[in-house]
Amino acid sequence: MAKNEMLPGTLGMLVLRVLQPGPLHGYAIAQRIHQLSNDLLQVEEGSLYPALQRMLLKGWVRAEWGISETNRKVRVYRLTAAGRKQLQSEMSDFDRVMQGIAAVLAKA
Amino acid sequence: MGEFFRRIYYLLHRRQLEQELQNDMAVHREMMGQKNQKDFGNPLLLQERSHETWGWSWLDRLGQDVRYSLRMLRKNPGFTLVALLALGLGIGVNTALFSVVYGVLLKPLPYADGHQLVVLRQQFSKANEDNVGFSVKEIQDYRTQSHSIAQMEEYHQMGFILLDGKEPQEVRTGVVSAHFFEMLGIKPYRGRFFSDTDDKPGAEAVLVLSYPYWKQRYGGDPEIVGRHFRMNDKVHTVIGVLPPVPQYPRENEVYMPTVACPFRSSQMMIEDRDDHMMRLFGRLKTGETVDSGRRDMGLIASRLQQSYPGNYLPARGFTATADGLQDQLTKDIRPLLLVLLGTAGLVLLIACANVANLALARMMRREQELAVRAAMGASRGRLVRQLLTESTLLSLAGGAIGLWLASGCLGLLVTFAGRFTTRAAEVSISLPVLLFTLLISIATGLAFGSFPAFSQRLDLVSSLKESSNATTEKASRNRLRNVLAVGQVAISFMLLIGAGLMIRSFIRLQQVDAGYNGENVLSATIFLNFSKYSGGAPMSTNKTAVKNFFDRVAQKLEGTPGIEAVAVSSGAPLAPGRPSSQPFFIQGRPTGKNEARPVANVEVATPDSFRLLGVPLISGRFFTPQDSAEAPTVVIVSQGFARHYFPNEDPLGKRLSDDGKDWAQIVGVVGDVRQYGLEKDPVDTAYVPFAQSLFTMGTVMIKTAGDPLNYAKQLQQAVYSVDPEQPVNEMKTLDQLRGDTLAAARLTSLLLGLFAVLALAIAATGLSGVTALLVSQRTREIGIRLALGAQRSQVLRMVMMQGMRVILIGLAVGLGGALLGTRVMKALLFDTAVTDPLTFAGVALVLLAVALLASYIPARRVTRVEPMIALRAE
Repeated sequence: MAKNEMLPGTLGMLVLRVLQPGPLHGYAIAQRIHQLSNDLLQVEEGSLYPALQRMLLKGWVRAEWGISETNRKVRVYRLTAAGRKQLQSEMSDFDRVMQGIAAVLAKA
Repeated sequence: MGEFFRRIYYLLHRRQLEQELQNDMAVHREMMGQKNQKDFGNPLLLQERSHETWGWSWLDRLGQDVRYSLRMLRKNPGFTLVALLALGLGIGVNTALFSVVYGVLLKPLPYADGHQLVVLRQQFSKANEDNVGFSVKEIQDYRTQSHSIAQMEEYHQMGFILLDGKEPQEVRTGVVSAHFFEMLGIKPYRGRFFSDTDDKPGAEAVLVLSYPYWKQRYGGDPEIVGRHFRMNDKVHTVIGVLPPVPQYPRENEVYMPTVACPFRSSQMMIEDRDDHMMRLFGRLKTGETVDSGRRDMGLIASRLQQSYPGNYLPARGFTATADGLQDQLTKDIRPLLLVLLGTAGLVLLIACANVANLALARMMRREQELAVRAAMGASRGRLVRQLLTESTLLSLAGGAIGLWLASGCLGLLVTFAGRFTTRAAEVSISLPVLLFTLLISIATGLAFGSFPAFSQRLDLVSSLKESSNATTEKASRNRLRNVLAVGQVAISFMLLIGAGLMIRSFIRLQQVDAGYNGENVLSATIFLNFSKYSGGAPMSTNKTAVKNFFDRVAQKLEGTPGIEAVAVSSGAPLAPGRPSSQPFFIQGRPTGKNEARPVANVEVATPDSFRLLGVPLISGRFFTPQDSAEAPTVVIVSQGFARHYFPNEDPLGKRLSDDGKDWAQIVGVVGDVRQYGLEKDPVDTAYVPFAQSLFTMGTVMIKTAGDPLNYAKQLQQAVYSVDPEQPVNEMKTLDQLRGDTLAAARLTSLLLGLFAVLALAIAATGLSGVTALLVSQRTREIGIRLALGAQRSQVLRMVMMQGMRVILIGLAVGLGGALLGTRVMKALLFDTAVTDPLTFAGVALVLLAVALLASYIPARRVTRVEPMIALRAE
């Protein structure tokens, strides 16, 4: 079960980040994160879909109709301007926290 | 902000979006491939968790609860029906009464800054005159000396004859100073209101019409402004129409400025400091309170007393005061409304306890169902919410029924309130009333719902094991049910006592001997067109013309077959109005300079007045036709008058005078008449012969054979044949007048009685229910007792005894409550003590009988218990 759990709160940022180059559907998002992390991170579907719904509500992503590789109609999620801004701020927040953690780990 | 709208969008398109999400997940699973699919987890749970982020799941759950509740309520039509009826009645009476309380007591006056308006009055406190008007001179004094009251405007009401080409009509006329409407903050609906130039001596006569009069008499004629009417022998021009706001202090057909009123503008009135004909209203300066206005008035009054000691004798205790207009307008009805609202609240409380009890009984049968639901994973909170949803739904439906009931009987209540206050017209089912109904509906639902909801135990194992007709039930719940039943008995006892006292007081009032016999007497009040019948100057009377008019009307009537007697007096007994208080002198008894003169009510009578009314002659004689205007003046006094002023001597032959110059001899003493209210003691009265009086009005009374209303036409025609321009005011029989004075008391008793019967009926069904449950719970035990040889009557007595305990405790609690609670009714009762033992004993007996019957009917079932069946029943 606990193969490669993500840090809590980082899923949203990762999803936004993988959507930056272009729109993806749900499965593709999970796959992309899995691949890019060199198979280190596994996105739980149970977290992915609620997270996507939340981002839709916040207006960070927009859903559009697209076609899956299996030739099925499916919704793809596209990053909006607000989403881009959100991604920026989440990334810089994350950087600062990482630096802090790294500093503590190095010096203690 | 965008998020908010997106949430709404998600709410509206929930079904479609759910499907899209489902599709997304389906594709996801497909692409994961066959072997990984089980990793996806429970797709349904996943979907639900995703929906939750939309923030609408509470709505879905509520929907579920509502659907489930509706199903449960439909499955128990008996329970639902009884509960709806009880709640509908309970909420209905509260809604109806609250609409009156809101419209009359709570709603701000429909005027700009209504709380700044005050009613001013003067008082001769030691002469028991606490609402004295103002004279022209006094109005000037108060206007110039007041610091806290920015504006003072005067008002008085007159009846004038208005001639507009149609049949002559007597119109109620409000005579006001120029800025009266401005003070109230009213804007004209048509035309304009009075200006200072309209209220200057010599100004052209102008009129403002009230909205209803303009609508009814002139069909809302848009050209009304500028029309001319003849009034008081002068041409009056209409300059404006009032908007449709309630009129204060009284309703009038037309308004005129003070200079147009022949009485108010007469020199005599203007100069006489003692002629307190006008009423005075004021608007406080901003920041000033009613209290400061009151102090201000008191100060000015004491200054007046110093300046004019002859007009304000210290013995009469002169003061002046101010009251808020709203308080003043509603002070007659306030205690009554509060008692009624309190009563309605108690009825709702009983309904609530009753439905709670029913619901508790039903819970026993639902225990298993709830246990199953809990076993399936429903949390305790969820179950409580489910039960509360059910009860709230029920009470909301009850509220809707109540609203329907309330709007149905609102008309009756408005008529009722109209007897006490002019604000009654403002009563309606308005938004605040609807909110009130919604609020008490929800509160009621939560209140009676929480009894079963929180008494449930979630002892799964035993609940599931227990069979449906469990013979043992938790004692605590039984106790709760008994407490609720005791409460119902206690409250119904209190309500019955309240109603009983009111009814007893009403019967006492009805039985009052008013001192006259009004059977088959018709009365009609006629205000003569004084300009026609005056002796030239406005304040004088052409005695001969007035006497001739009434003589000729009387002659016409006396010749009519079926009319047995005709008389003219100043007013029919118990007709609306107040006694006059005329100070007088008694010859040979000088009153000191600072001493108050004796005061009596003066009435006018013709020779036949006393005989017609059956007022007994105690000594001396009645008036005769010889007591004419030319003959020596005479007076007849009432028995109370004689006892009061001539306790140890014969009043006959003594002389009275109102001015100390013209003396009238007492020629007779007649019985006391309660002329101004059955609940009031007779006033000391002096009767003056019509022919010798200065009255320009008179009440014609005819005694008839058979129904007096059949002679209304003859009376009207007799008046028209003498003067075709003379209107006749409303004709009423003396029985109708007496009935009118009783109407308020009758309606109050009726309402309280209705509430009490309602409460009793609800409580009786409640008691029945308690006993019925008791019997069904103890069927097995009863079976054993019977099998062991107990007599059926013994068993019946045992069951009844248990019910009796509830009843007796309820009675005891109710007795305590009633002794405390009925004190607030003191002001409403006539000649009845709030602890009237007969009422208490009677009510206790009635309640006991009904309660015993209510528990006997279900208890009787024990006599039909078959021991064998009962023992096997499990």
